[in-house]
Amino acid sequence: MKSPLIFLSLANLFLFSCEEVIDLDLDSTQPETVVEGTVEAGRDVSVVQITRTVPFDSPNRFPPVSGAAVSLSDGVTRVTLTEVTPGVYSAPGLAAVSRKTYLLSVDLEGKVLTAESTLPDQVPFDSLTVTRQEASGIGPGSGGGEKYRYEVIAWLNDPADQKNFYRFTERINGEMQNANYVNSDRIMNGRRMSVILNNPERKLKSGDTLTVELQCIDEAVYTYFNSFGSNSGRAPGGVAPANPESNIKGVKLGVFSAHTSEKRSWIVP
Amino acid sequence: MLKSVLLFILFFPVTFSAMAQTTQTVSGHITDSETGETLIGATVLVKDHPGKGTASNSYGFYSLTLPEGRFVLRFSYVGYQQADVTIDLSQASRKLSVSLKPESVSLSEVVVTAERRNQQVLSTDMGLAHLEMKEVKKIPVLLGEQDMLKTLQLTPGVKSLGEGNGGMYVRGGDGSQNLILLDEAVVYNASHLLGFFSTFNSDAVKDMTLYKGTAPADFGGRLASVLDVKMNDGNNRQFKAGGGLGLISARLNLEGPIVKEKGSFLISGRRTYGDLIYSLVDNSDNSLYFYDLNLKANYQITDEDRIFLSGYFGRDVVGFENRFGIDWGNRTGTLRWNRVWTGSLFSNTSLVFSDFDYQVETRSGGDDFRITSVIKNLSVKQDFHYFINTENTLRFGFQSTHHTITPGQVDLLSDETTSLIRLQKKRALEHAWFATMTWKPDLFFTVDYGLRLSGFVLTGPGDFYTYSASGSVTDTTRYSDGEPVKHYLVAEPRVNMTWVLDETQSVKASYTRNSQNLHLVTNSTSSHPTDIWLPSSNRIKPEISDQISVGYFRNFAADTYEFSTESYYKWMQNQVDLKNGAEIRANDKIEGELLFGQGRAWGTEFFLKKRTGKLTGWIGYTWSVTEKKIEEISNGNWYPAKQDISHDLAIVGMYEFSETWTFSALWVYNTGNAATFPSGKYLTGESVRFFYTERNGYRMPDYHRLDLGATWQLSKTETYDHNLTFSLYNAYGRKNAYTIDFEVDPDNPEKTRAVKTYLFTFTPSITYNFRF
Repeated sequence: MKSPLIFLSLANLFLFSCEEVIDLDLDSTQPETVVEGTVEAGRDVSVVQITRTVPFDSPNRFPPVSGAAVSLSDGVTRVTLTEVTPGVYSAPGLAAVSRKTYLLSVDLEGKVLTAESTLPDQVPFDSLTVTRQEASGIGPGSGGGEKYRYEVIAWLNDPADQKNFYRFTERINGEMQNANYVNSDRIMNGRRMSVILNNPERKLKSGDTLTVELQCIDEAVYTYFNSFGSNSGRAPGGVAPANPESNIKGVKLGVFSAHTSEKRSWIVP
Repeated sequence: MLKSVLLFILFFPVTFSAMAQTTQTVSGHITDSETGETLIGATVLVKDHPGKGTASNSYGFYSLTLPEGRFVLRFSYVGYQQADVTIDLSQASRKLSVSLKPESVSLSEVVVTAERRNQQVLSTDMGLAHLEMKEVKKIPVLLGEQDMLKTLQLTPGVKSLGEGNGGMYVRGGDGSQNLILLDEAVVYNASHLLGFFSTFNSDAVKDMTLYKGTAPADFGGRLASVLDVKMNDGNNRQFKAGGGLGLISARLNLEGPIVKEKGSFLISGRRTYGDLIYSLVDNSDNSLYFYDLNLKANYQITDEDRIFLSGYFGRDVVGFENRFGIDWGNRTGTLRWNRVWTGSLFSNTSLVFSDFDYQVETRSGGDDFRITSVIKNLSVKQDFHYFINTENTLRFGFQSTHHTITPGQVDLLSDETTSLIRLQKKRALEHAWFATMTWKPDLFFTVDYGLRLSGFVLTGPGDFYTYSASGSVTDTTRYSDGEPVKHYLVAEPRVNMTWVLDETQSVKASYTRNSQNLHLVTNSTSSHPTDIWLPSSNRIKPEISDQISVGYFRNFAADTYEFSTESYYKWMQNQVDLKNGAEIRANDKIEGELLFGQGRAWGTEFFLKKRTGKLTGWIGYTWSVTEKKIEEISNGNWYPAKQDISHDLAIVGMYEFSETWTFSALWVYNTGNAATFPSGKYLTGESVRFFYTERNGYRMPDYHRLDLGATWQLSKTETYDHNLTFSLYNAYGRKNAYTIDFEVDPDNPEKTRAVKTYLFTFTPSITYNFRF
């Protein structure tokens, strides 16, 4: 539902826009703790990563937070995660089952952070279609003077009897792309959905592997990722960006997500 | 209701002076002798009786009550030759309609402007910006498109955000708080192509006045300003055609008599043709264009009755390769009846329709859908002007408006009969009773005082929600057709006072309350077509603003220069904002996604204008502060609103070099508006995201720009006129930031960077204009 706005913003800029990297004097603040927890269907290892924020001008290396006591529970079994590398905690033994609610507990220097997430039913990733189009100069994905643009569409059949939330990730040759895609079936409930993965920054060359992952997520996780989408409005004076609403009590940032995962790949001919 | 009527009467202790002598009234219309167009604000002075006089109203009608006797009346209007008429008011009231002849176009002559040139000093007008269409046509513009809204942004107290933004931010208000009227009909979205061009085709416009929150009581419904645009009536003497060819658009204007000197018509159209050229060089199915059509007809039925019919139709169409399309537009229609009941009682009755709609279609091969949203209103307005005596003029009436809002429905394209989501239509009635008395006891003091009672009723049918403070639905109540769901009544007192110190200077003060019952929800700028309007409801209370202002007005050098300065303070209640990540599309519980708070704004404006001579122009400067306070944002502290721009300067100059060449230049400078930039970053969902600490805690970079223009008059005679206008937008190529984005550096994933997008450096244009 956000794509129209993105399209329009691009229309705004179709003819006369230029870009330039600028220097801004941005404040740095006290580091905040960021907790990322994942319980993934089909993977018997759960992972929690704890890092801290860094100033804008620093390199993208996020200091790990060691020494936390991390545990996960499905209401019956409780497992303690061990720190395998600094800031990364993991443990096998917790089977990820749909409709089960998982509880995360992190004890960080005496401060207890908690979160819960319910693993939704899996909705199959029906197919991925990619079509190559000649870049027209206007319209989405035309940027950078590329000769072609690729329209990537993920297809799925939404079940009518439940509320569903979806998140897509996109990797090129295994490298995570920054695009943020979340969808709900609020409008298309029970229908065949074709989700256009519109990423103006996407650059593909022959031989590249594009991998799209479909995650079925719960509503709180959807809310968390959806708030990044609305931050991307490019029109001047648009809605001010803000921090997402984390589903982890006790921290401002991070998310605990129990989700399914299914991938589809495509190799650029 | 009776109580409010009673209050109303009490509020108007009509200040009749003892009438020792018998008086008579002279009244009539003031028109252009060549076109028959009525002249708005033309002055009528009584020679040798200083301080006695009046001005024509917005329909060109004037009325003047004088003691019995013989008088010489001097009729004048800027750009016209004055006319002196001797009138005998010994026995009876008289009708006297006057046609003024436009001044000779020859520039070598000494221009005699006979208008009462100290009008700004003597009138009660405060917080007013009035544009003369002749000025608008000389100012350099982007891509050759004359744009009155952009010209208004060059006057103090009116701001824009960023490049080519058609949104007007008036004295701390936002873009949705302007009442934009075209022949009394509301224009919900006044810009084309997302703000780069305005919907007003300057060929079709006669007059435009902006009230910066200080409008008289007959206007209401928005907090920040009223922009009152009047269309030309059309030439009732002879057939005329005019138009122009520019880089991106063509214009054509046709007008002429229906019955000579009795009635006339006007047809004025404009369409951009960039897409037509584009399709010649590229075979793709993209579209990007807009058009406007202004239509008007009027007919003088009897000496006392005149009817007007006017309409506006405009539309923007944007499409990408059959994948995605959006089109949107305004439609308005106005039927008006002017009647002169007696020499001192004039009335206008208007029946007004207006709507705005947009449609978004997406096609990707699956279950493709279309989102439709419509807002429309039907309104009746009755307005009386009662010229009681030489000291008192009363303007009163009522307006009733029925609003229907279709907030968005989603239809399947493959199956037109199936709506995926059909949100309940929202219906509301708005009533207003208004009266303004102008009391002018002597030459040195004038006061306008008035009251507007604004009533609002949200009505059924449908299910209406009750929300908790945090925004979750606690209850649902079903209402039948027409049943009131919620009503509000706001009394809006307004007063403007002028103390004239002498013929060249005055001091003014004003207090105005405004309320607003339609609230814009947008996750973008004000000029975005996919805006959602919501009526006041159980959860949304009327927005209310109170503004006080004081000003000093001074003319210099035999009225060649006008100077004014005004300071204002404004309080705003029940302001609406959105929660982060709010779902606003096709959401019937959208009110739960809103936040409410207050606003405040203050500032000082300076305006110096050179009105006559070969060099004309102005300098406008504004210093201002605009803040908001919403509990859920910035810990409930006051924070700068996005439209908070501290310093704003505009310098506009027009120079008539010769009969064939006129040059113009404008320079604007403003400090950056408030913006939210990250103060850190973090890793989430395997991506780098940005961390924000305070709302609008940063500033966009300073904005400045020089535009140059020239008009080359190819020939000009009584019957034929054609010229070329040239403009160079952003003449020194300043790379003003349109947006600033934060992203991971694609060349170095270890770093993040700030990227500014800028538009329009050195943008030249040429336009050919003709009229015969």
